[in-house]
Amino acid sequence: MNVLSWLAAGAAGWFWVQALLPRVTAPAWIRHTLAASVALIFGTGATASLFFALLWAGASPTAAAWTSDALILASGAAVWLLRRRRATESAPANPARPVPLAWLGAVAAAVCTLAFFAGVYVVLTASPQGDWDAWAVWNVRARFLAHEGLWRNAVSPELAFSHPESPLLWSAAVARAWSESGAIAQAAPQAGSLLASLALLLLFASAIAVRAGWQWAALAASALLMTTSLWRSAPGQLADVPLAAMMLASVVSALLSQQAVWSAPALALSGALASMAAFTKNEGLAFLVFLAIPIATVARLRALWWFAGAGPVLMLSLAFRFLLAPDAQMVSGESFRQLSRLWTALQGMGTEFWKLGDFPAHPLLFIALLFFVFRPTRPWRPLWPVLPPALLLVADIVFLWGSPEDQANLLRSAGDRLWLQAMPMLLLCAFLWLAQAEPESTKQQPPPEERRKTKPASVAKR
Amino acid sequence: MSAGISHPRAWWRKVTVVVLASVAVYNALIQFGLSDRFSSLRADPFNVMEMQSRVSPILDRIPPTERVGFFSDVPLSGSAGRAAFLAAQHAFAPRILVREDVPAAKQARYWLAVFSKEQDYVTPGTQRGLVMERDLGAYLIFYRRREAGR
Repeated sequence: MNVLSWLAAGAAGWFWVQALLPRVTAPAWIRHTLAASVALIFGTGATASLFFALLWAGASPTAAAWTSDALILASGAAVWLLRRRRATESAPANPARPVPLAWLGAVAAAVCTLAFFAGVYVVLTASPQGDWDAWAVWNVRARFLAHEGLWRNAVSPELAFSHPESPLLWSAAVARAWSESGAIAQAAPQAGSLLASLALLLLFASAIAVRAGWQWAALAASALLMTTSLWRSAPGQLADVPLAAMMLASVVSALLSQQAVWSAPALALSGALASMAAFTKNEGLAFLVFLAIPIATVARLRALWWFAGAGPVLMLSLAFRFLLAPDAQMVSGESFRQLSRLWTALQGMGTEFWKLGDFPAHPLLFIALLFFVFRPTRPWRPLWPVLPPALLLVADIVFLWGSPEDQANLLRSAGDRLWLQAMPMLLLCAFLWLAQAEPESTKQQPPPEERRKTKPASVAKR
Repeated sequence: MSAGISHPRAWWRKVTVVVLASVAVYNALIQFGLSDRFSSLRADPFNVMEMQSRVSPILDRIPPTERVGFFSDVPLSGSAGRAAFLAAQHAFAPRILVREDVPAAKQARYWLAVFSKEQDYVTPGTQRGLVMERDLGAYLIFYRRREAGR
């Protein structure tokens, strides 16, 4: 049941995703992979948010878990039934530029994926407790949520070193699985971690496959799996992997909405996913603001749908912050006055970026080589999805500068994970730019002799 | 997709794909090896699972609503002390663990102490008005507050 509970959340989310995402022009296996990965992310976030809201309203953990599943499933099925004949059609994606030896890229992606999940499985089995933040923050707070009448301990100011002020979505997702299984077993956070990694990877690859074909998706998946912090965080049961998946799913939904002339349901889905990110970690709240800016700019009045989608979980998240979470000083004026801390933050993030890969395998080198050889056509489009991850990284640096905590410790423990949150979105943009087909005018002209030979008959006569 | 072969950079593109695919596979195998080695070297570096198994026999005696006191000869300002405290908090949840220097500790009836070495475990407890209940092994001692009038 510890595994089935996560799949049940995905099934509950599937109807919502089928109803809200525009129909894309792509092979069926790519469409279904995209829908399944978004459904797993959305379903997990929606059931966990509702589970926590019901706990707060006074329900027992078991009742809250089953009720949240039933409500998300029933409402999703109702929306799907109402909308299935009216689902927006997405315009076919522009033809992508060809990739030579694409089969080799596919083989590489398959080997990398197998090795990755084998590595995740090995570490999950050997270290069932996960990394420090998993057992000291997320899973320990999940234990409070799963005990009847004791959920408020998860936000108690007495809780030392476990960050009771942090958002609770991932802890609520684990607690929901425990409440449904009836026992606290490490298998629940382990399964959640594995499925979140799977959803992140499948979503990333299928989103690129929908817009640029499987050939580019295979290369992109290989590049993402060069990110060493993903190899460490995925089996570590940290909230950063589901957070990265939620942020990526939000951007992908918005991109698909744009492709369908700013489809309102897809925009609402994007907003909902961004609000779930905001209830997962503080960086998620920053991301929500940074995605709202380009969406409001490019989608204009349609952006109201995005805000409508974000509304319910964002309100829960804000209510949590203002009514439940104990006060915690995130930044201090004293730290901001020390310019040396800014330099250390910049240096630290630079070092962490370099450590994202093991030379010669580094996502930046991978992308740089592809850019050098494939020369993506300018202007690079779409440009707006790069703004949220870029601003998020700037916000991370500002936070590292202003935090009252030990900067070296913060960088050591969180630096690579801050990059991990942004990398899937940054790589998505880079691969969409790379795959953009060259305009007809810049394509290679045949040599003059050949041109003469192939002249149309009407021209040759003249 | 074969249209790209006629491109002037087609040869370079082929070489790039071969190089990148090879580097990606090489890296994946290296990373898998690192994961495998990490898991065999440091399965439970902070003794979280060990703490859980050692503490489990006494958990039934402590009501879930209780605050459990905590003291240690390892300073909580350091990462070792903090790891011991958090591992104990993980094992005792949903009971909240309170450090001895916070006011709520005065009400705690049950206490856990983590020591860094073999020593006389009774005296540190007596100094705090505690009675040693059980040696849980691995320098973990379970105490109970001495009842008034005894």
